[in-house]
Amino acid sequence: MTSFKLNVSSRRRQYARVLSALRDALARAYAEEHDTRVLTKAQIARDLGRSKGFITRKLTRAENMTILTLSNLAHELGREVDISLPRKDAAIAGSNMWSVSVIPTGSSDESSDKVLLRLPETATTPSGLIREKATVLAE
Amino acid sequence: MVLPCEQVDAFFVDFVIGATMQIGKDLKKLQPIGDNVWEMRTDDVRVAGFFHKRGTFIATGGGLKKNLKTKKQYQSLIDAAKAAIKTLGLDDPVCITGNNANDVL
Repeated sequence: MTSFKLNVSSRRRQYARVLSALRDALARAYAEEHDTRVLTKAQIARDLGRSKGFITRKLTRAENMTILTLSNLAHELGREVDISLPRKDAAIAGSNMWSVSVIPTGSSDESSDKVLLRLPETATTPSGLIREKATVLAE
Repeated sequence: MVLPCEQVDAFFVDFVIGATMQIGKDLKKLQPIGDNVWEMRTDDVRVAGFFHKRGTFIATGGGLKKNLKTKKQYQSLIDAAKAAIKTLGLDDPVCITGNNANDVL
């Protein structure tokens, strides 16, 4: 039986996982908004002056995007974007991941509707200690 | 741009740490494709295999999404997984038979 070995650097792994986490957060927020206020990709596309295909791609593919695009999408989804890069050594045990959270504004319980997208610590980083966390908050 | 091998690597890291495999109705990263065979999906890659135990996925084959357009191409992935189920010599039950993500995760 053929076997495969993936040789992916920790830096590239982190990049791939950040993009995946970003796509997941956007897709989740879109699914919620679609369910609650029947927001459609066509509507978003029209408001942003982009094609529906462009919006679909950003919500379904883990691909690079500008911060402007992220911000615009978050705005259309009625979300805020809150990004932080806490030090690894400041993190609590068991949270060796990064997270993207979607929290409706006014919610007293921030754990509700929370979406966690997680990245493991970069074990091979020399000085190491980088951890990323992004939080998307609903307006 | 994220290379297909990087997508697979990132996917399995997420899988191992327990990330959500379905987001909304549309974004399913894991789904059954028949005969107890499951498919793990990244943007450009499909990895087929089976669950020996809950949470234990044995990948038996895969390919680029663009090369898996026809049913016949897909069937080869399913057949490879079925062959592995029979020949790997794992303890019974060799694979989980459910078709729901909650059955295998």
